Amino acid sequence: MNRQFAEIRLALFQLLQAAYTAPATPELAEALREVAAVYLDLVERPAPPLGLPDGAADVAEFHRLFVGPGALVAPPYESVYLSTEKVLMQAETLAVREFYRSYGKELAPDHREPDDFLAFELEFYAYLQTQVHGLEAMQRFCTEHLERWVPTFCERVITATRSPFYRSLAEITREVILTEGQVLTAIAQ
Amino acid sequence: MKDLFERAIGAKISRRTLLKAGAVAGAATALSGCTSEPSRFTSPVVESNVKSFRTACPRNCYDTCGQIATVEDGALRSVNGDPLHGYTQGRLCVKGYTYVNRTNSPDRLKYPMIQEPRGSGNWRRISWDEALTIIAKKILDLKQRYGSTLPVALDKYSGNFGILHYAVEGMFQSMGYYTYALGTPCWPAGIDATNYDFGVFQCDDPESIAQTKYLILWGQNAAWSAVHSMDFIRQAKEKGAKVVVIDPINTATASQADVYYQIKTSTDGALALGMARWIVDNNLHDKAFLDKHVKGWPEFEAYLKREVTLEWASKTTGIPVDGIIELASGYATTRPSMIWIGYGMQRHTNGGQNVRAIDALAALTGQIGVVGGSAQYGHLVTWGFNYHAMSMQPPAGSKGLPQGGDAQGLHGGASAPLTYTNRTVNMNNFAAEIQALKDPPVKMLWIACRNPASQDPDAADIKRAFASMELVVVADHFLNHSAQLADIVLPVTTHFENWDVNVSYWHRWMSINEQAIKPMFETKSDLQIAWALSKKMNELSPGSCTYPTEGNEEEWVGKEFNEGIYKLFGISEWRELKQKPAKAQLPAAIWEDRKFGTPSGKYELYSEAAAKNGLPPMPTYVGEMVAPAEFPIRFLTPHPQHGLHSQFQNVDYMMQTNSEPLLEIHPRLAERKGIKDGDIVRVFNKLGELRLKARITRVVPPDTVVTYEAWYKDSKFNVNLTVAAIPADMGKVMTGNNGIAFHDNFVDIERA
Amino acid sequence: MPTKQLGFHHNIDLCIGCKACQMACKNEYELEADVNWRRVYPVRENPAAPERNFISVACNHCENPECKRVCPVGAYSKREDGIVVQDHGKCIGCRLCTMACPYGAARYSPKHRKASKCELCKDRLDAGQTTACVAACPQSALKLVEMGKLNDPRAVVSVPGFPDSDITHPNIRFTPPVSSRQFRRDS
Repeated sequence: MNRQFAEIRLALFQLLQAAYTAPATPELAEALREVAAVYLDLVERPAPPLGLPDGAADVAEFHRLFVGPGALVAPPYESVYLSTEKVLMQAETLAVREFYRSYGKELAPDHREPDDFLAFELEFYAYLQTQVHGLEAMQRFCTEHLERWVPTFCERVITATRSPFYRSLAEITREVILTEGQVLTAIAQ
Repeated sequence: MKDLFERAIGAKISRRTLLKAGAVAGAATALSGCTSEPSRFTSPVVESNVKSFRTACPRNCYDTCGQIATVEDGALRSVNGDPLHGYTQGRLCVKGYTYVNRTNSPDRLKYPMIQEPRGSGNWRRISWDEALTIIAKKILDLKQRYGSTLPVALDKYSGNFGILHYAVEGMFQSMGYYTYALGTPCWPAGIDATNYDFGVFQCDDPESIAQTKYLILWGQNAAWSAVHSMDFIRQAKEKGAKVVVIDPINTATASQADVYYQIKTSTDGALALGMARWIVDNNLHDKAFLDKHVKGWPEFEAYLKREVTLEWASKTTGIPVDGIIELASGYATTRPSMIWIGYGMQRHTNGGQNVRAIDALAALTGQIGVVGGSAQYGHLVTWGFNYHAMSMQPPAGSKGLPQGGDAQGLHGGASAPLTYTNRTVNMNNFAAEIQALKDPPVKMLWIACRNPASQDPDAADIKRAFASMELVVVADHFLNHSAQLADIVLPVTTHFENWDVNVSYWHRWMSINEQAIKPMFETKSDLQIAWALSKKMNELSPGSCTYPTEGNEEEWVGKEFNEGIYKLFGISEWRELKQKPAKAQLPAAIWEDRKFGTPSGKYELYSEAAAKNGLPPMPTYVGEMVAPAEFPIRFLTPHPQHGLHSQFQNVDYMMQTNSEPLLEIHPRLAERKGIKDGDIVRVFNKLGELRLKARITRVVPPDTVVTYEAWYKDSKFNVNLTVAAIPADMGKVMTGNNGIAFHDNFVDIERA
Repeated sequence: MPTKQLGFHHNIDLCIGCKACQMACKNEYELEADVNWRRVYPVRENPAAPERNFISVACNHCENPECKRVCPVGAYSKREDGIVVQDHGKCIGCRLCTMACPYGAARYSPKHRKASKCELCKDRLDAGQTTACVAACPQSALKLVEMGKLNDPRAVVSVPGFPDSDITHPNIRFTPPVSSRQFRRDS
């Protein structure tokens, strides 16, 4: 892998992480649109066009989808999709925590969200990018975690959202994660 | 992916964009490095970090279960019963076993959120600092505009009965004099009745149910609302005891009885009086006890002889004369015989009076103070904590409702000092009264441990009351009906995420509630909210709140204990509760010394105190509320099996176990209305309406339809759309306001 | 041939249908919301004496388990103590067991695309505890017994509404309900 591709990938995952952390700003949307379009073209996947978030309506939509206060449309936590009970803080959460620990990372003490929150998993994944020998870790993390639930999560968002912005964001995320396996293989060669 | 990297070189992404990506990610970072050496290729073996904690279910339930919470690496994994709790004996209930599902629900309130405008559904997350700033500014603003914090009102009740949760009341008191909902919708008529009769609100050890030989469960559905008592009932049965259930509905408890009496709703007093008449006629009353320990026996006997006949009792209650005789005979001749009076039974306009008539049977047969005897209702004897979390003083110079002194300043000069007090509003007529308050009006509402939009009568008027506020704050676990009407929701901890101590109003056990896991997301306990709000208030206006601004929750548990509690429970240090729950050391039969707390020192069949309060002095019969012609069908909405009021039913596990409310309707009534099983039925009266699926069954009477009050996930279902705030006859003396006649609700129905 | 046969004894007469058993099982095994290894059903109202009765059924660890017979990958087996267990790893999610079992013991999870069922809390039994459902029952209506050693003269193999026991010979016993004497308002 060359520096340029690495930079693009790092930027992509950093922007995705931010997009699931808080309602998107226009700056974030513009940056993500640019990076996603270039990246998906490089990996020969369809690139859903990403518009700008629609002000207050998309702020409300972000909360409705991912935060609350009502029943979440698409809870952004791995254990909700992979555990039998489909709630938070399950064995899957602890497995993710263990994965972080084995690579020298853990959640900062003031954070009390579950370890398998999507933004954390993406942040960790982006971190692995910057590590020497991170490739093997990324392959494992992708296979054992991201691939197993993120596409389903994205589909839920796509089905349920009224927002063109969040629909596109989910479509982009799905494309990226579904391609990861192939891309990592290509990098490995 | 041909020439992936080569093509990447030519990719046009600006440096600016790449830097921006780094910047936004950096701002959102959550991960930090471990202090230990990272090992990238191996997963270090981490020993399973499984711990157990002693917790206590803090719900408004007779059983207040002792629990053991199992936590793995900081995550709640399972909750089971505490085998060392002598009453709950290591078991929970259908609701308790959903606690992990509930605590770990992705739908829990996680962060403070604001809805702009109120009711729009446009919620966004705000920080605690923002939320508390908005709230504090509003309180200070109202104080400035109106000269006091009386425009701030608190509606709080029993969502969490842990002692530290009285911090909410303390929080408001520490800001000044405020308005609060006074009373209890639950059981006040029976409490006043108990008070008129016995003088003290207490009852026997319910574990002594196992010693009785004849048990009457009177309007009491223990199978659903006090399930751990069923074991003591079963033990009694195994030893040959007879169990009788009196209830308008053939409940799951009634299905366990030897004999079930389907009484006409709200006529319980007549049945008790009919029994009393028979007992007296057959010389089965305890003359010695009546002479020595009861006031008003001659007057009551005269009343019975003059006005009570078995035929009258039978006609009034719908129970055949031979049934009443069998019941009276069984009760009076099988000794000891006990009556357990349920709370549903007194949610009527004549509820308190009916309780008095039933209590009278225990006095008549001299069984008060006898193990396995007497009439049981409830108690508060184990609740003698310091209430340190609540006992705060308003800031000096605070104004409130004037009392005493020269309130109007009319006479000038030296006079008795003017003092202030809080203002109360009737919890049981909340919607109407909160909107009617003036001088000053109420402009801000804080809801904690309560869900008035679901639980109060006249749900439509509650909505109007909320809409009239400038600011509504709801502290809760889920976005229930009240939270949906709020400006700001504050996410609170479950009892697994905070420290507390718990007792029961039925059994005699006390349990520690250890904090098992860290508060999830940004949840705070009511106590932590009090500290934080006080801090913010004082930041904005020094001295505006006297509540401590920080503390240690575990230590605050300790501050609730006093010599009285230690002596009562036979422990020397509250931390002993971490090893096991403790039981109050009291005689099983609480009245064994036959010393009553009434003015006469005796059990009072004739109560002058009752007369002074405009009530009949004796447990004479007061007729039930009659259905209006327009709405001839009674609509009973008792407590559900799968939830505790608006808690639990919304949780995923419970929605799968019980997916929708049903209307239980007798086949005769259904036929008259052309309703078949599964049809949707419209239930309506002047106040509002509901639509429910019909379940045809003979376990309900032909003139009554029944559904169980609850909050189903994402559902607007709410029985209180049809329930008016009709007061029960008693409750004011001991609880501040009369109760609610929830079960005097009349409707008509039609196929929808 | 199993050396002993464990099974449940459900005393319908004592059962109040509280569903603590059903939920305790879910709590113990962190089951999906819609997967119930134990299920509590209302019993049809007796027209002569209507009341609320319930039957609680998990897996009956049958003599001739249908699940074992139909499973194409041999995932089910019957142990020495009579417990019918499943090798979950082998399950291919064909659902034949869910269709063949007359009692609905095998439950399919669309999420995981596999079937699963009550295994009589075999790990708890090994640790000297009883099953989660029996531990939770507030009425002592649900008991774990050794078949053939059950000491209840009223116990029967089947009750009305329960599937014919001749096919699989389920190892479950019931004590039928005795209704209360009732003074009713609709006679």
